[in-house]
Amino acid sequence: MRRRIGDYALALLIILILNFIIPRLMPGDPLTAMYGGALVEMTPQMESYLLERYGLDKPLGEQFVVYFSNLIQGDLGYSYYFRAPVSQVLLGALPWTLLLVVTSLLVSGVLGIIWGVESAWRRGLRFDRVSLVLVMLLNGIPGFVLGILFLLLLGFFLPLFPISGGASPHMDYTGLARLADISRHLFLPALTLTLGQLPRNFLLMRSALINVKEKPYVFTARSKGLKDRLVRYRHAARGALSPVITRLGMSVGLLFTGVLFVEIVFAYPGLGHLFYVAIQYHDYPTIHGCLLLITVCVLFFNFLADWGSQKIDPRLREKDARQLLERT
Amino acid sequence: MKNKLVIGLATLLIIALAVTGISCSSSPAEDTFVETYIIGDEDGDWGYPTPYTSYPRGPGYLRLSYIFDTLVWKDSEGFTEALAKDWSFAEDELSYTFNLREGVNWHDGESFSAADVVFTYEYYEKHPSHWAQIDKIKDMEKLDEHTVKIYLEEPYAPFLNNVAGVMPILPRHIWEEVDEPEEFTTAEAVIGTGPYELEKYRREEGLYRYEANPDYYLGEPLVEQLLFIKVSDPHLALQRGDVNYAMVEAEAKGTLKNAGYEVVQGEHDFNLKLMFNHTREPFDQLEFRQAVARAIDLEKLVERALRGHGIPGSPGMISPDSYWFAGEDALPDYGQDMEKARRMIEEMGYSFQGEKFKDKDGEPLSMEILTAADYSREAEIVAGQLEELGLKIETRSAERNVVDNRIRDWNYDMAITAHGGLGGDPEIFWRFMVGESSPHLNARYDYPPLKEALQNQAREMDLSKRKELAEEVQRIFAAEIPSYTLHYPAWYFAYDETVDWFFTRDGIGVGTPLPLNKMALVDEGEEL
Repeated sequence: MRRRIGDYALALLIILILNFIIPRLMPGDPLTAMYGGALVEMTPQMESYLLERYGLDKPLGEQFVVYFSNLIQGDLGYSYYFRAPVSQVLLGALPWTLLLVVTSLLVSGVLGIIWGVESAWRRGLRFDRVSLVLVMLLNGIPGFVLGILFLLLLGFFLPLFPISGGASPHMDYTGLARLADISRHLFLPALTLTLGQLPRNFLLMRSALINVKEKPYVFTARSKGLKDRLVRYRHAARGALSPVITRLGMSVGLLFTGVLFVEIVFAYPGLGHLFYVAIQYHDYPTIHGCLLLITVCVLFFNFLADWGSQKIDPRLREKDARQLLERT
Repeated sequence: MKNKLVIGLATLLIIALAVTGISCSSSPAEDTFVETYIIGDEDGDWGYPTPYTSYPRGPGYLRLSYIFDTLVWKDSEGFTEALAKDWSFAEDELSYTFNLREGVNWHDGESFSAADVVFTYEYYEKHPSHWAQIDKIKDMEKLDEHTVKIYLEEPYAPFLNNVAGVMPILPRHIWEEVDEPEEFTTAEAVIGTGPYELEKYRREEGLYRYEANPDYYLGEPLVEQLLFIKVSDPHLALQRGDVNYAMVEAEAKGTLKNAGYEVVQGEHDFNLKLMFNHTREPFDQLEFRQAVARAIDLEKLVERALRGHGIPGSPGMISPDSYWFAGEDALPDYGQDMEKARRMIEEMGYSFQGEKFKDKDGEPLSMEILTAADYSREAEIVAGQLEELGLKIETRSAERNVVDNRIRDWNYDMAITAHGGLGGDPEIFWRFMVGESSPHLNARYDYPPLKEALQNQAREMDLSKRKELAEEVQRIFAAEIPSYTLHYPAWYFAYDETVDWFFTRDGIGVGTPLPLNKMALVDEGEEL
């Protein structure tokens, strides 16, 4: 485990350096991007004031040293565009994104696993065949199309849910009413994102289960006379779960990109929108902050998946876990 | 386990109740007094509404204009009083004297006086803000508690529009303690004298919630609670009753009108233009630029690229619905005339063989049109017409920043780009015609008669004389044609009957072309 943590730290460092360099390779510069509109003129006085304030007049190497030493002290810098400390900007958006990502991750994970198990157990039967067709159909529809579809169907023709934002703008609900308000606003975006993730989880679980279905330990469990449901979930599914969990952890990175479209379609608050605006305006400190936060989240969920799959699969707890797994 | 199940079921029940129970539509009151009014915006966030933290775009200014007042303001006709109840200009000493209103209070109850105005100027001098263009001010002095005198560096006609009518006046008793205005975002930072007080701002939700200032000196605001919110789809949001106002797509016009909304067309503040690299052959020759303009059918461009939702460009850059427009008769007409265009190019020494022009070496006369992906449709149409003229055209579509940089570095033949800002004071000409500012949008055509005409109009303090001089600028620019305006797209705004919005002459503040003038929310409204 200690070596794992070392790997994660090295990955983080490399990502930090890349995060610093790549945004600066984009053509254009922050001041033109921000003041490129027609209304406000950037006076030379204003320009030199901003260059100095943002430290953009310094050589790149020096900028990195400043960035890195501030980062170590927990200072993410000041956003050029949002005109506020980056940490404050990110912290405002993070809970919304996490709410959306974690909800979708859990729901699509649980549903995908159950559906995958049921389908694999009935491999070749009608349930399985219909499921496969449904999943393929769902997989073929891009997330934002699905989002717009829900927006129209459940937000407009049958206006059950709000179509914009994360909470009602003109009310300050508290307690349970706030929870209900947030849930109502969360429903459509989370549904869209969940359905986007579901096919992958379903297919993975289905094929993993098909692989273990004929394994001796499943056969043993069955011949012990255990109930079918018990064999299916406690024995077969548990053994098949580890690649699915790993995959779920890895899909967090994908979810963060998928969330951008969903946030735009439903005007949902969150990091996706921040990141989009930050790139548009060359707001380097915010870009760094977003990338760093996403990196940390992805690494954290990967770590969680690594740890989780070991916990779940008893075979991986053994010393030569991998070898053992290959032998079985 | 059982507990968890109960909690889960309870949550589900609450969600279900909430779904059916709470409706978030607002009902406009029949009375003149309105409780809640919601303005929908697709972008949402425009920064914390102080002069230092709002974003340097029109909507950023708009959001602070409800809180902070200026010395003068504008309505649909022109300048009106605000913190100053009247003002006069003394030509001999180049000074404006503003008589300030008495009995005005800041939102926190402190009284407003001339000391605040002088402090504001000095503060912006020390801490530049993009909403305070103070370089034309030589000095400011306080004559008494309610009179200030501002001396100008030189005659500067746009002073009222660009300075006195834009610069947000700050409360001295608060800002004199502030050393880092960019980091000043407490509740105190949004204390002004305006008709509204900021009650809530949530960046990530793009939410601004204002409460009326009942003591506003121009009358109590019509709407008690004013909100700006972020919406996913303005058209649907209006139809659902989520918002009272939104900017909408041209295609939504019909359905919204049928649903009882007022749909108004914005002023033509925004233009799409063809830029010629006049430092490069053959665009360094006036006849060639004129010939290219003659080959383009602007009506067709509006029809095909904008589906009719816009108007053809004027070679003088200013749109025909602006107060400053020179008039069609005063400007050269570059209506499509292929024959004439071909003759002009032939007279320059290019030979026309086999439907194509050849240069002196017998090579086809070829050039590139550079554009951002957003305008590739226009680029294709223009390219088609120039091909028909006999030129060999390649269109290259690139990322916006790449286009901007290549224009800045003169590394292009022709480019299609777009910008707004045409609805403000004619001083904006400077930015798009000569000099080095905003090089990616600027024709940078330093032709002495043009520069002289620009200088003359900026120094003429008499409005009607100035209008003539501004027309002269358009005439020269249109004749020299260093860039050619192709079209002005139309913008539409839809709202219910609650508030009677109007368009402001030369735009709100420095020139924001939106109908959301705060005076529409004040009792006296336009009668001021």
